[in-house]
Amino acid sequence: MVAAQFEPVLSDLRHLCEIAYPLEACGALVGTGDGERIPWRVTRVISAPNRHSDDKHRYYLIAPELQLAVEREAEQAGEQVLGYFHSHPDCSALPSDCDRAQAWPGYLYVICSVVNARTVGIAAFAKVSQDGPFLRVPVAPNGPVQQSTLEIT
Amino acid sequence: MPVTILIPTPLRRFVGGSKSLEVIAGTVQGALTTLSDRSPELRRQLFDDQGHLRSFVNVFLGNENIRDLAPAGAAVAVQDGDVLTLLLAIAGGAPTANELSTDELRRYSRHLIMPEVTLEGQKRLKRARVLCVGAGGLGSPLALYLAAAGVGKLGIVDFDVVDLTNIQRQILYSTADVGFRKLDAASERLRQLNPEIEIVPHPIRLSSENASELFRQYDIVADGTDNYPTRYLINDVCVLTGRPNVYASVFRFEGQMSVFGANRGPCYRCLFPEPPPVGLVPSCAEGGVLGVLPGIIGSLQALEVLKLILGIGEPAVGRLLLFDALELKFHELPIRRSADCPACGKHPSIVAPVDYESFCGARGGEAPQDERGIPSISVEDFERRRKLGEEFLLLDVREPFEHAIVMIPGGIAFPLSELPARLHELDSARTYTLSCHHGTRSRQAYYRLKLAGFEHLQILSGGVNAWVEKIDPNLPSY
Repeated sequence: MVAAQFEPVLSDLRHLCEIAYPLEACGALVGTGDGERIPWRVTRVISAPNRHSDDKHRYYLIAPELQLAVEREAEQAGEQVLGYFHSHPDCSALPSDCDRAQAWPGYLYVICSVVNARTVGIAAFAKVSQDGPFLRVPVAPNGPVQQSTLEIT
Repeated sequence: MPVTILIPTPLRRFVGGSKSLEVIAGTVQGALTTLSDRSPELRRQLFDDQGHLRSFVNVFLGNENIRDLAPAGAAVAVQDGDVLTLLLAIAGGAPTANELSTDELRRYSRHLIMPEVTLEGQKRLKRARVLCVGAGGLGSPLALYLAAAGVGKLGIVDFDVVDLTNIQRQILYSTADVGFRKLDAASERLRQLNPEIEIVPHPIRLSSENASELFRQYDIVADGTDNYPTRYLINDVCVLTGRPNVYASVFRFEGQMSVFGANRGPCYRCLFPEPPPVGLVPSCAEGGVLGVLPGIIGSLQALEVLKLILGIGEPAVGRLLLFDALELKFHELPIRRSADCPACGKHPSIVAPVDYESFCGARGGEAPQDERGIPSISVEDFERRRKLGEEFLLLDVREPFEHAIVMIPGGIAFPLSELPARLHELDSARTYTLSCHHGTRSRQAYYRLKLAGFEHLQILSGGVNAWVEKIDPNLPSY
């Protein structure tokens, strides 16, 4: 799969996930591309309040009202919502069953592993079809570097 | 009424990639029905079998969620020019530590059906954290099999770059990886092999300062290194942190493997309290190794790691397994835990990692020769002085098959193996410069000639390897 580029936004992403710790952070990834013919290029990350009613340490939910606002804002800026991110507090950056089941093909999903309020791994995934596997998308911090997980030391 | 419907990215493929569509309808429900008439697949995405809008689909009329406008699903009228926005619920969560996904159950099905493994064993593998030190000949099959088997967290320590001479045995890499960092290439390869596990690259040189903290993050350490300082460092830190050390080494056609520091068994120092004298044991770079050999021995390491995690069988604790590839024979040497062992004995003298470079005689046989008082000359100096007219008698102590690959111009083929029989050809009154592939054998030749009464000797630093690299890159290297 073509690498998703994250121009200067990886530090923003880490920061958002770290300040939400020990709760799950979540939000939208805005930019250009479709991940197929044109590589995804994430230019902005937009934080969303975690609206999960039960356990915000282990689950997240983004309010549809916020989705609507972000969709419109991105459209006006000539961009689009490429996908969504969330964090896994004290857990690896690999998708859970829940993440896999609720993932939509066509969206880019980014997961940040945050341990003791520090981001220790970032991984991106996408589905090609509804029943297909959740495939890993290489994350390129600045340009098309073939590196799928960033090790933050 | 004409109404515009905005389609979210995941649903656009059902409507020919369109971002928005215009339909004629009097209600929101009518508009959605008209939309879904275009594609039965889209209908299944939007509505359940009873025709109700699915819970994970949100529809906004302008700024209002229709579930707020009509909580019971009543019809909501639309006006000319209204905009409907479809949104798909975005939710998920962190994995629970002890679950296996449907994909994982299928991936590991050949494990799961074995009564020695079962679902419980596979979960143990998933929870396990294994550190592979070195991603070379041994580390390649080791990491590949551990990743494939589903070891949940696989750390890899290496700071090297893939070289063309690695590809003959280091099956983690392909020719296209030459010149790139081993860790980058290895991580990518392992993630492709098994995206279900966590690969943690550690781009560091393992040292007395960083090893303890690193080892504590893992349950088992597997030693795939090829030098004595690191081997003793791994052993000592494994003993100090209580981590089993799955050890192996290979040379030419022989391999050895054991599990140290586990189940109250012996450690590497119980077997070898001190390293051999520098230069006595050539490295693989000097002596060579048959490419498949690390494949066999590294796979045995993987086997022992898996057995330790699963708690099955008889791990190679208290025995050193020796493999002779030419004879195709395995031998076993019993090893006992030594009460006097400086690392794991009754009164250990090693209570913290020491300076392994000096303990093993500076980098296990690859240090600049002058550090040990052997007269040496750099390839640059040698070439410069030769160009100025100085004459050198350059004895190339590599073996004939190596001479056939490349020779330094003016070198005299004088294999180390033939040295005792051909001593009479040399004149102890003259000065000889000794050269080999990159330094170890010329030092051995130096000591032998010294013992035979030769006084005027020097070695060519870095040997033919340095010559090709620094003086004539057009010559072949190996």
